Amino acid sequence: MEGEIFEEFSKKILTKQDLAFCLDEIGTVEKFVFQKIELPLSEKVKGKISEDFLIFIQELERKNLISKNPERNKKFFENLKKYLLKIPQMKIEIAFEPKRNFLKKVLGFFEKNFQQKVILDVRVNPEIVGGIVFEFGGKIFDFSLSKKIEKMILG
Amino acid sequence: MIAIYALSSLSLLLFVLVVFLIFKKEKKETLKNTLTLEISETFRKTIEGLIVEEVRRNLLLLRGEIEKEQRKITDEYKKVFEELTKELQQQKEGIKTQTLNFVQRLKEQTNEIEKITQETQNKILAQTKEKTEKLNKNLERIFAETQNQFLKQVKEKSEILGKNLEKKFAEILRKFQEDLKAELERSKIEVENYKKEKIKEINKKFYSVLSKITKEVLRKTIDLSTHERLVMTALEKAKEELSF
Repeated sequence: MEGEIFEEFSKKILTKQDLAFCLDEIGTVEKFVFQKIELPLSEKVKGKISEDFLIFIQELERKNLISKNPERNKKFFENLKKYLLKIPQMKIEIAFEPKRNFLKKVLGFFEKNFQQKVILDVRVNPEIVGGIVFEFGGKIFDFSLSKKIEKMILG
Repeated sequence: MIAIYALSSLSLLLFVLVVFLIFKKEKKETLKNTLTLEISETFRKTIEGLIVEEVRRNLLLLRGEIEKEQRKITDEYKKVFEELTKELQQQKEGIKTQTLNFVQRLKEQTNEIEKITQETQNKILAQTKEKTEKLNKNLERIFAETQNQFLKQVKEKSEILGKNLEKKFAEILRKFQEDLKAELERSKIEVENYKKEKIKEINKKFYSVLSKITKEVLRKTIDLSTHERLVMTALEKAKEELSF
């Protein structure tokens, strides 16, 4: 059950920046776990975290996955952090500032073909002109337009 | 003599005058007590006139005598002076002659000394010259001998060295020619390589510029949707090539 929750939650994390933001929010929540234990966690962190993450916590409370037991709650968030940090990251280089929908498409492509969840570490580099350069498993794969032009002209 | 006479006459007259005056005084004193014979004024004047005349005459005579004596004395002195002058002149002449003789002797002695000095000098010079000549001859002989010996050695050494040098030179020349040839070949190859390298470099620069221009043009012309399409196409190609 916890694994499914984590998997579902991780779908919202597309990039390394998303992951950093999410870990920061988990950190904030963890600070309130042992404070005013009579109050629900969602009440304690309201206004301190993003609306999406608050909804996620409320959902967890509703499904009784987190409760008034602070130890249990602490454990839950620690596991969540571990799960997220274990997700492999893929460095990609593209020539333009991508929209979120486009990043979802790219992520979808990699998840479908590699059959695993990945997080994108995006770097915008206009020098590559177009296409994509990605690094996975310690190797760099250059499918940029820049490379194509160089091949065509310089041979 | 006349002067003595005049002087005695004068003395007599003075004596008469003194007697007369004494007599006159005594007469005056006697007259106080006794009667005296009076002398007339005329007689007295005549007497006085005679006395004055006599005195004048005697004085003139005395003067003449004195002048005569003076002349005599002057003449004597003159004579003595002349004699003395003459003697002095003679002495002067003697001294002069002596001095001249002395100078002459001195001159002669000096000449003698000079002559002796010159002779000694000449003698020393002659001896020195003789010795120097002798020494020079010896030195010349030694120098000539040494020179000959040295030249002989140099000649021998030169001959040996010349032969060696000739041999060495031939060797060096041969090696130099070989090196030069090799260097020339190497240079030719280097030039050729350099040429190729430069052409390659120029081409590379050219294509690099062309590539840059192409990239720049494309970068400016590609829009967002084309970018997205290019990425997806690239991913599909990657899938084919890498067989995910």
